[in-house]
Amino acid sequence: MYRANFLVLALLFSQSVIRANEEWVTVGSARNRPDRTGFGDVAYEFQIMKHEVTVREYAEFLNLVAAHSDPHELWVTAMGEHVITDLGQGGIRSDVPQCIRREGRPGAWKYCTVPEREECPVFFVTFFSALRYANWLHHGGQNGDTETGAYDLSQGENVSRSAMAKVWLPNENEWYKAAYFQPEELGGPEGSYWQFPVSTNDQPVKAEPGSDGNHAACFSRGFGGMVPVGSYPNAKSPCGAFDMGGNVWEWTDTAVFHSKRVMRGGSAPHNVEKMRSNVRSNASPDRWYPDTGFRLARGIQH
Amino acid sequence: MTNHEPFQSDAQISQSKYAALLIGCWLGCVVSFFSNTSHGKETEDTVDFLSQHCVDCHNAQTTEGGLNLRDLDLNLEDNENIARWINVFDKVDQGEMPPKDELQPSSASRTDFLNSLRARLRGNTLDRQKAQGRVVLRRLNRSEFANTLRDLLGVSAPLEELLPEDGRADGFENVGAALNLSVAHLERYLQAADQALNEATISSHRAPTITIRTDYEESWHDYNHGFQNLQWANASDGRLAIRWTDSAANGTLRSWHPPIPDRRYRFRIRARAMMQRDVVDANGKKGKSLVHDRHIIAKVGIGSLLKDGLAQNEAYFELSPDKYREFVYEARVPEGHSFSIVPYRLMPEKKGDRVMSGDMFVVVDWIEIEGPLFEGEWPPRGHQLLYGDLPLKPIESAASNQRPQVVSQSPEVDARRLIANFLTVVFRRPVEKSEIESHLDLFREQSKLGRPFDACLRAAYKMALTSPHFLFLQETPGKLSDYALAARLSYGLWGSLPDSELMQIAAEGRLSNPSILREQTERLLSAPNATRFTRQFLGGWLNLRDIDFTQPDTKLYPEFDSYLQFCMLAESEQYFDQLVRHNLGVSHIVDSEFAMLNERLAEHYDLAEAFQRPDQTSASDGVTTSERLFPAEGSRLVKVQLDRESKRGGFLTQGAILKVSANGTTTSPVVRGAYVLDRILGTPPAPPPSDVPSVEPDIRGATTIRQQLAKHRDQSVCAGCHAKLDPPGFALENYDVTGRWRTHYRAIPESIGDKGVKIPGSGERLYSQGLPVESHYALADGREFTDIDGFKQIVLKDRQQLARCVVSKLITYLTGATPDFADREIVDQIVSESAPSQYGMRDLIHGVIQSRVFTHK
Repeated sequence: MYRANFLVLALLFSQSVIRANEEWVTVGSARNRPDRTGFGDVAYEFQIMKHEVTVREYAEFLNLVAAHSDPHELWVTAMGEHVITDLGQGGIRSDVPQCIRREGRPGAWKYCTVPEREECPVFFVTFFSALRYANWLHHGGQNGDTETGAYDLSQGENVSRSAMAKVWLPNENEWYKAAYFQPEELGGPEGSYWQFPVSTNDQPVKAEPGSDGNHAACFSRGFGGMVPVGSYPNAKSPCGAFDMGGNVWEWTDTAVFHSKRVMRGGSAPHNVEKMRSNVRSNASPDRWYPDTGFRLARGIQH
Repeated sequence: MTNHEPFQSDAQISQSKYAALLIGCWLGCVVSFFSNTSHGKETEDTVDFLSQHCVDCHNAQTTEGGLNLRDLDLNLEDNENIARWINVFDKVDQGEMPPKDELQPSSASRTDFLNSLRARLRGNTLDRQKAQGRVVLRRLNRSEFANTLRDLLGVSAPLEELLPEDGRADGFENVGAALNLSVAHLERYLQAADQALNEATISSHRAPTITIRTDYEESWHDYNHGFQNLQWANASDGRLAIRWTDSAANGTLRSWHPPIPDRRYRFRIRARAMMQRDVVDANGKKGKSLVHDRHIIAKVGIGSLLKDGLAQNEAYFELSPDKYREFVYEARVPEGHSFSIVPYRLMPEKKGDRVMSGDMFVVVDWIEIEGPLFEGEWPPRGHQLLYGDLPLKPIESAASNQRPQVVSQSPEVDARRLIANFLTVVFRRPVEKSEIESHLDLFREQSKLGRPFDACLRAAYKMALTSPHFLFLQETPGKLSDYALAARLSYGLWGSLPDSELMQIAAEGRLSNPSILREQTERLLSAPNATRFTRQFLGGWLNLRDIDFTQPDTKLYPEFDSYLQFCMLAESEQYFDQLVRHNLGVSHIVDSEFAMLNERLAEHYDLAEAFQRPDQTSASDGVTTSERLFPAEGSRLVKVQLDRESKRGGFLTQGAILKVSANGTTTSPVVRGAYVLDRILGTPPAPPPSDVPSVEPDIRGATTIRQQLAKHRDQSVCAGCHAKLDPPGFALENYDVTGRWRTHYRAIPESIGDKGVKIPGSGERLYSQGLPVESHYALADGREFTDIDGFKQIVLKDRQQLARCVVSKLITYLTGATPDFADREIVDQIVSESAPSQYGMRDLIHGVIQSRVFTHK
């Protein structure tokens, strides 16, 4: 009996550790004007994760909500082994990276991080999985409901954010503002938007992780070149969020072309141009890629 | 002196006697051969003519020109014998025989001989035509079979690909004598019929036609070889740009699949041109810059998702650097395929401009996809023909994989009604009760096996589509029935079965009325389906069907590309459309004051200046075809007036003709000469002797083809034919294998030193300037010319012969049989009657269709 209580306490403690590790930064200046691209105006203040959701965090999420079964494919095989598909999504290349392996058997799955990937941003995550992670956090990050809360997943591809959402996937304007916006009066450029999400209009330089060079960021590093979040100390947006340019593409909950969802920021395999404010990408909500992850947003915490 | 030299041996003496004896026997046979059509004195004269002027050289010992008159069988039931006698007639008639240096017959003697032989050959031909008809039983060839099923059932499947290639005669694929029927044919016809019937049978209740819009972002993420930054870029506005690569894999829209495969879809694309340039910044650092400063031709098509590259239905559009342009492309999309777009080449903006570049990009804003498209009412016309208005059995559950089935409350009655109607249409005539019963029997057999009603019907339909009554044109000796005439007219001009109007007129027995036949000919010639006539007729007459047969050497002719070839083919086809539409004279075959060009052709022909002033008054002519082939304004062919000094004008100098008459590396005056003699002048040369090696052009550039042929002609066995073959070939020697004008040959650089010639439009140098081209020559009769212009003037002096050639080709194509000896007088009559219009092309077509060769089997 004591032993069982100890295990529950240990679990709760470990969860609180996860929550404690999540850092948020505030995006202020409510009711700002949009950029010349038409994006970036947000009428309220909010907070956004300082870092992309990591492999370690996502593995913990899986161990809590998908240990018994994984009906929504929060974990996809490509996360743990090389998968050949006929339409990309990992493709025929042999150097596709992995991040989380699944062990055990149906009913008792255990999800383990791939060594040296723990603090990297999670990848191979679909838009729907990102929403379920948001729902999970909305409910406090316990082993609770992933289908309702911030998002009602029963709405399928037309799913939209609930007005009552406590934690959510940022929409494109929120993401854009967090990445590029810095008021002129607070040292920002003319027009208040940088062209790159590392507080500069100059093209960021390619460098090794840890470099504090001129706006060095994680790009053009080849397939699987993702690095632990925050590895580039100057790859920081004006609000203080790291890696909004490079490392992994980040899902937003803005729909385009009916049900596709916008992704932004570029990734480690791609070149620096993908980090520019005028570049936006998109994909269907059920697709996963070896360089696409996410970060979340929430209201101001008082 | 040896013992043998001054004397004949016994064996030799006996051989000579034997030969004389055989010739004597042969002459006896000839007497009986001609006595059928000549009086005794005439027969005697004819035999005298042959023995005095022919047999000495054409016997078993001295088979001059490969002809041994002793071996010439006198049995005119044999087609080869007829051809040999016709050859004898032609040689004497054209004055080639007896040779100039031999004893010449008197004019009267020659005329008597020709009249006698003509009467024999003509009488024999007419007797045979009366008994059997001049056209042998003719099978639908594969394009006719496919066109028929497409028109009948409204399907769009490329059925030709399922069918074996057809044999050819005189270049055409619809000549009955060359169209055999094997078990393999029947198997493939069954397969094609099966596919067409299945596609025509609707597989669902009407699928909604939906429109979606997307871009290339998801495809870019999905791209198998992904993350290859060089194959993509982002334009200044952030939009994704597709770079030129040697495969089209990055241009395939992988994020979209046809929701219902094998249907047509409409793609509206909004795109813009972009270039990458090398730049050096103020600090001297080299870099790349993306700019919008050049027009680009983009290639679109339907590509396989599993293979790199485009597969089918390619089309080309011009993109602007200044703004996004929208264009529309429509195609049938099979399973596993999707839309594809890639940059293809630059639009030249000044002479010698670089037109090939790996730094081209297509910036795609969005693609709107509408489909599946259904024409007209629902169910589609094919389904209605097969199943009338019978209802569909609803699908029990949405999750079921079952397709809805046609159901009947009275299967026997409905099947009889539907089969009778179907047979009438596909057999192109009223059907007998027994024919309906035999197909109903199969329906009943299938029903007994418990198969669904619609499957049983399809079995009966498939039986009809592989029946001789469908596969063969039903023609009987003598005057054609109105139904047979309708079929011959429709397959001739539309390559497909008669439409309802033609069938109605045939049913009323009015089609054989010459004025009605003329009206219907006009109607069919003016309809969109007449483009099939243009393509198929030119495919055979000018051999354009083989435009893909060779590929120009990429080192010697790197500026050649598939878009140029596409334009060349369209040029010849649209030029022919102009001749037919405006009844232009037959002289336009060799020369013309106008050409049908677009920017690509104008650049290739060095006519960019002329292209700047297209003939606006007639620019809309033929626009239907041009719009279909070239949906984008910039690439569409228009009528362009040519200068007097232009080296273009007429079929002879069009790229497609110059390409099919050359191999991929070199031109040969012999090959081109034979082409012109056969297809333009109507005087085909004899086949080359098998024991004389052909002349291989020297691509090292050390000797010209003229020098090589001069040596070749020194052999007496070669001289006779080359005197006729070489002149037209040399007249075209200034045109290279791609149809471009040249003053010097191109050669591989190692052979004669590097003279530093750059490829027009590429900036690269892959070949050297070789020896100069010499095109001056003299015809066999001594008339000289200095270049193509001089040759054209000589040819144009005998327009009747040009007309005779075209009429002969038209007869072959429109009736499915080459003209017989007795048909020569009909050819002459058609030519004579069209003289007032300068032998106008439309008049010649009418002349053939109104003539006995067309209205009779």
